[in-house]
Amino acid sequence: MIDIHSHILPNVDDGSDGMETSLAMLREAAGLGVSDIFLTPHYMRFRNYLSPSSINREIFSRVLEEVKREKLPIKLHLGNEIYYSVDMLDAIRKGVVLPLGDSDKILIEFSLLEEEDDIGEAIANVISLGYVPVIAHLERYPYVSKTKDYEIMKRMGALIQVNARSIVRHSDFAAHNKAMKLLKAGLVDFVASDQHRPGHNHMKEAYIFVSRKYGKQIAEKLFVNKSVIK
Amino acid sequence: MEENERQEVVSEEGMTFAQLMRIVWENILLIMLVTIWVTAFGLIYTFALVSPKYTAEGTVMVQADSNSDTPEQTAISIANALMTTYKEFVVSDLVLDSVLEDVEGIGDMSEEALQNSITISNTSGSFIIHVQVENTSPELAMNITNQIIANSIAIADDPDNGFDFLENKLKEVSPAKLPTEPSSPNKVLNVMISFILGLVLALLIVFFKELFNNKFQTKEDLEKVLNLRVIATVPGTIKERKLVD
Amino acid sequence: MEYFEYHNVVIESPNSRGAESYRKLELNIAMMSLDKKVQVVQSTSAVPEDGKTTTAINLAAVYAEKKKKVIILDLDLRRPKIQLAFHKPNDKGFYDYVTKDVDYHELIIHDESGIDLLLTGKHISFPHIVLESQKTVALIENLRKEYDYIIIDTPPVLSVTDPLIVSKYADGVLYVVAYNKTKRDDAKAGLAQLEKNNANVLGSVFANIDIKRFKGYHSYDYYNYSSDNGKLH
Repeated sequence: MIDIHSHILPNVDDGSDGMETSLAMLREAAGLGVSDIFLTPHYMRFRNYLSPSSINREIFSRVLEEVKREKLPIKLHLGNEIYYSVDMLDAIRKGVVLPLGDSDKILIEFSLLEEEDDIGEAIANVISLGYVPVIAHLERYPYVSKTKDYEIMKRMGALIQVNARSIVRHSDFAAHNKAMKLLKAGLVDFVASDQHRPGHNHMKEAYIFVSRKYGKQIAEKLFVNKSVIK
Repeated sequence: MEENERQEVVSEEGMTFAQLMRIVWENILLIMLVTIWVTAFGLIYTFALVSPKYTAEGTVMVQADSNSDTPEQTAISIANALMTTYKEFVVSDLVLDSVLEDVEGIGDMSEEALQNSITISNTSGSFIIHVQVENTSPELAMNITNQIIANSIAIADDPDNGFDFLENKLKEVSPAKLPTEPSSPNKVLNVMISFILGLVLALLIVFFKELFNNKFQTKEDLEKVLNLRVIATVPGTIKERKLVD
Repeated sequence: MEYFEYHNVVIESPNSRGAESYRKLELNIAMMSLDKKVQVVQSTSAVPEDGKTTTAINLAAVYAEKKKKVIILDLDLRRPKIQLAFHKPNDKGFYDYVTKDVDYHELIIHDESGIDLLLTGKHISFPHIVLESQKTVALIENLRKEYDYIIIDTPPVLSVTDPLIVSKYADGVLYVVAYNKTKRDDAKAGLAQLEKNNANVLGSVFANIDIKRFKGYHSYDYYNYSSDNGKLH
């Protein structure tokens, strides 16, 4: 499986709190069958997660060393989860924030509470910079829920990522319903873990669920989306 | 800045023939659709829903008094009275009841129904009365007609009944023959009427549509309403309209 | 959410009838410039989505085609669209000029079509106040010196007062009306507003016509002055 969204890079955001934790999460992921994982730390002004790519790259290479040493059967890629605002465009231009690995896909998130920026504008702006926006956990935004709007986003050129947890857990009822809606409408491009700490990786469970419900081909398309890997 | 004085031009609100034709042409599909639908409905009605009816006709002559003693005027007025009387007599309960009894296969037809199916007429100036009966069965139409004639004459001629006025004055001229063609419905006429009705309805629909249309369809329209010159007519397609600002 | 897509037919299909119709527009504007040059052209309409942005971008393309120096100034500060039409990021623009005193030269985008763009940038809180300000006036005055033509995209007249404010700075206003879409009453009301504000309305642009159905659409009506209507131009 290819997991494009995780907070495994240590000490930069609200994800992993250290190398040990990171390795534990990576072992877990490998154990579940993830072959490629993207470390996408938050880049978010209002929570002060502003670690630039230069620092992230350094930390990343250290993680790579550990993974090599342990001979974990998992390939690592670096990226960001960028909390969108118009000011972020400059950060993207300057390379302060990174797209997913070497691809032209860039992971963007929006407020989980209320609409701050028009998603349509955001998509247009990111595309004008030459990147393809991947909207992180779209099912978690309470202010968008219409299939029509989802379709418009896709039509504008965005890709949609849904969290594995939203598919297999019902605790966030609204998110679960929207995840199902997106799946049913065939609008999902990626299912990812968005994993912040060990023991909460639902990737395999979600894969089995999707495979049973929609068939193996769809599951492969969503969980092993190779478009982010050159 | 120049003064933008605009004269309110009182122009005729009438439409030119060309404009009318344009409206028809633009709505031609709608017009065709409505006309075809109404005509089709008319066709179905005529050919499938309505039962054809047959009319049989027999004739009876009223014999005026040939007594040369009677002055001519009186003879004529007596003859006219005979005609009128016979006409009423033929559709009286007495005659009709007997017909209902005598005609085989007449079934449960009510007296009223029977009465409604009978038409008595005569050309003015002639003493020949036409008895016509309409029925869905050609045989019945014929039989009823002949029965009516036979019975009415028989009843009138029976001295016991006391119909002195009519006694021995009636004589069958020609009996009803079996009708081969239905007299109704007139298929061709029906289809033509439905077609015309359809057309009229379609045009009415188009007329009202245009009347209430409050959007601009032509450049001339736009210029006239705004009193402003149209300096460009630029394209898009109707499909794109939702997308383009 | 709405999906918007703009086509610049003058750039994309320069030999099409569509492109020709915009060239005709430019010519008609030039015809009206004989007494006083129409350098700053404003595009507006009565209601949203009638075709004013499309008209603006295509007209600009015609000027660019003629190798004139042209800039599109997006003064639809509430719902800017020019960045969508040219696929440009809208993070820097008029906002920065007005609130941060950035030199507008740094904010101008040079599109490969030869058209320069000054986008709106970030959202401005009180557009009508900003548009009335001296800064806006100064900007346009400066642009007049540097460009042959300035095309201003503004919001619809019946939605906000912004276009009425801008019409004071424009030499001429194009009033865009959509075929089979704009209601007569709206079109009349919008025009009345402009006239009340003494805007110099050059004429109307009949937009989004369906070429297949539209009978009046033929190539050579340059000189189609409807002289029997008593209009003064």
